[in-house]
Amino acid sequence: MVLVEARDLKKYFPVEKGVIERILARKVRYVRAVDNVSLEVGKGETLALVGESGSGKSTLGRLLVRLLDPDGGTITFNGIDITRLKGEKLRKLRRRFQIIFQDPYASLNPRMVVGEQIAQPLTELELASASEAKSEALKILKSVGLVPPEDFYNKYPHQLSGGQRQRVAIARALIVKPDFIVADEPVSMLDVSIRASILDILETFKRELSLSTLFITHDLAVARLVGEKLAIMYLGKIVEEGPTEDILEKPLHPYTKALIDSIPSIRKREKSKLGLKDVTPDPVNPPEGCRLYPRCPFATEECKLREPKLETIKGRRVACHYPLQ
Amino acid sequence: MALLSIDGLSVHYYTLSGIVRAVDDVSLNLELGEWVSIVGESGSGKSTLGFSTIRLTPPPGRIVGGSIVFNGVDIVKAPDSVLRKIRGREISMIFQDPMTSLDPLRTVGSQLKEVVEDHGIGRGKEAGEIAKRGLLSVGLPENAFYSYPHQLSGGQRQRVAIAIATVLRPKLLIADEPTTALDVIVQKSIMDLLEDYNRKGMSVLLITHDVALASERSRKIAVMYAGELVEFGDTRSVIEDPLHPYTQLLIRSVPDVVGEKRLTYIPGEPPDLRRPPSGCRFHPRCPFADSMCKVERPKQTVISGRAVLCHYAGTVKVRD
Ligand SMILES: Nc1ncnc2c1ncn2[C@@H]1O[C@H](COP(=O)(O)OP(=O)(O)OP(=O)(O)O)[C@@H](O)[C@H]1O
Ligand SMILES: Nc1ncnc2c1ncn2[C@@H]1O[C@H](COP(=O)(O)OP(=O)(O)O)[C@@H](O)[C@H]1O
Ligand SMILES: [Mg+2]
Ligand SMILES: [Mg+2]
Repeated sequence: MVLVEARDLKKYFPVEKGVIERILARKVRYVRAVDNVSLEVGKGETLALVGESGSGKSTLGRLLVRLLDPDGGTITFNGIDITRLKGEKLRKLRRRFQIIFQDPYASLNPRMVVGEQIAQPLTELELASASEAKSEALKILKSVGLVPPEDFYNKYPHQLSGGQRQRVAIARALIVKPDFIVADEPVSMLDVSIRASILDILETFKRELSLSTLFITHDLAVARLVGEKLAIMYLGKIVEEGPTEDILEKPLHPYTKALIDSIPSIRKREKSKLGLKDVTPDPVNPPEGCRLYPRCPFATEECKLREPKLETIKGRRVACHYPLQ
Repeated sequence: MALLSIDGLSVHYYTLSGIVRAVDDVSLNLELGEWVSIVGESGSGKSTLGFSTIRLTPPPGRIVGGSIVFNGVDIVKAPDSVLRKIRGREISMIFQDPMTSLDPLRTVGSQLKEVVEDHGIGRGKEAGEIAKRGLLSVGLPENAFYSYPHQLSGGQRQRVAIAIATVLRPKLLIADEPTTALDVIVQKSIMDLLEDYNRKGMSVLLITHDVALASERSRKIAVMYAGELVEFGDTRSVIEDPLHPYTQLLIRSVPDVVGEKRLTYIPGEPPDLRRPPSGCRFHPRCPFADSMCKVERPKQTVISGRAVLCHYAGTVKVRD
């Protein structure tokens, strides 16, 4: 069953930021951060979203939880169109989708003990009384491994390590028992020796709450651990999407292949010589035709002229005129 | 004879909240032409070790013990004038943020040319030619000469930093997380570039938190934990048969796109180096720790060419 569905989602940010700048500029230019993206996340499913910096992952994530307003397209949540939902109606639904950020320090209030911050969504959304909220907070502190919870309840963010703060951020997002979370690089700032402990917690919640997750990461190896499905983004578009292991074993899009081949590995493994040209992608003036065309070793005239559509091949969606064999 | 020989080095930061034992009794050798990588988690002392190697320990840090001998010169005791000649010319350094070594207000060409002129390698037009060749050799187009740093991508800026660091043909390049801020595809091309230089004879000391990256590129790996060097040896043997429990657990925690899928981590967290644990610094997180590990600091032992800092080196093995 599909829980979250995006159709042709768009978000264009004006490059000229100030009002005066916009008036002076002959033509307002836009960063096409998210450009016609469609995806689905099933109930209890994790979709890992991978792409390089600036490809539009966070923007897409924020659109899905309605922290940003889309410039086009629709978002459906559990069959309800939430694209233009506002005010009280949006607030009521907020409980059901939450977001966790890369930098828990930036998303926590430095002057409030973490226990209160964890309890806050419950009281704010009028889901519990103050005392119920506190006991729920203590419970969830324990489930994210911050024990004894009574001690951690009264700590300030600066008294915690990076890993502990990320546990707090997870607890705060999950205390309201959402159906869907966007986890935006939740382990990217953490050392590898503790990374999996955070993934483990998310995995446990996923099972208990049959949580659906959009897991954003730039690291394919992490994506492999968390998501049964994988989507690869490049310059505002999804270029390949499907079952994670299938894609990793046999990527069909040249960009996906280049990405996989570039990941360092402690195991000796076969790597192709497929290299992408060192052309910096410009999200303001993305190439016409295929966006990878200036960098792709297989590009032809057709790639330059005509934009490939996401098409279903072998149970996967791929946007390439010449998918790899 | 080793090109670089670090022996019993200790570097401490004298902060208001206490002494941070960032590097403690570290010994390490690097042969001419070799690529050695120092791996470890954040705060394990890698950068402190890197900076101290050219005696650029940031304040309030001080080298408090040990020696660093580079090409016959004792870096710890050498007069400033000698060090100035070594820095840049014989040992140079690049960083995670290439802007650390770039001036945002000047074209990259003029910056590179200045390095050439300052070290008396060439003057005027000739210096300009050397600078241009330097940019070409790091894979930048010729017109990059006239670009300002902000006009370049992160990867291109790192290439410029490499051009500046290598234009004087140093014997040793210390690279502190040079690709951590870059995407993997760009990381690969930067690492390929460093590998080219290494093949032509430049020694490399790569500092990284990425064990997989180190394992693909280096001849030897040095593993740091909480300011100490816990294991040092040939890359393949460290990766395939790690002897220190920390190395064993660390390698199992590295996620990969191939092979078995598992969620492995090391319980607990690295210690605060103002109050490092007694005995072995890894003992609070070590599955094999016993009462001796709690009180007695291990001494380095060498097992088939590998230096290991563990009371039970070679006798303990984390099970799969
Ligand atoms: N609020 C904003 N105003 C203007 N431009 C923006 C804004 N947010 C994002 N962008 C631009 O949109 C594009 C996509 O950014 P986004 O943050 O979604 O990428 P990302 O894939 O999450 O990158 P990273 O891996 O670095 O987090 C970038 O070019 C970025 O500069
Ligand atoms: N300038 C400084 N002043 C005080 N403490 C420092 C300074 N730089 C690093 N440290 C401390 O020294 C230890 C080692 O840090 P560092 O060498 O930067 O490690 P790494 O490069 O492995 O992340 C850490 O505990 C860190 O907090
Ligand atoms: Mg982002
Ligand atoms: Mg460092």
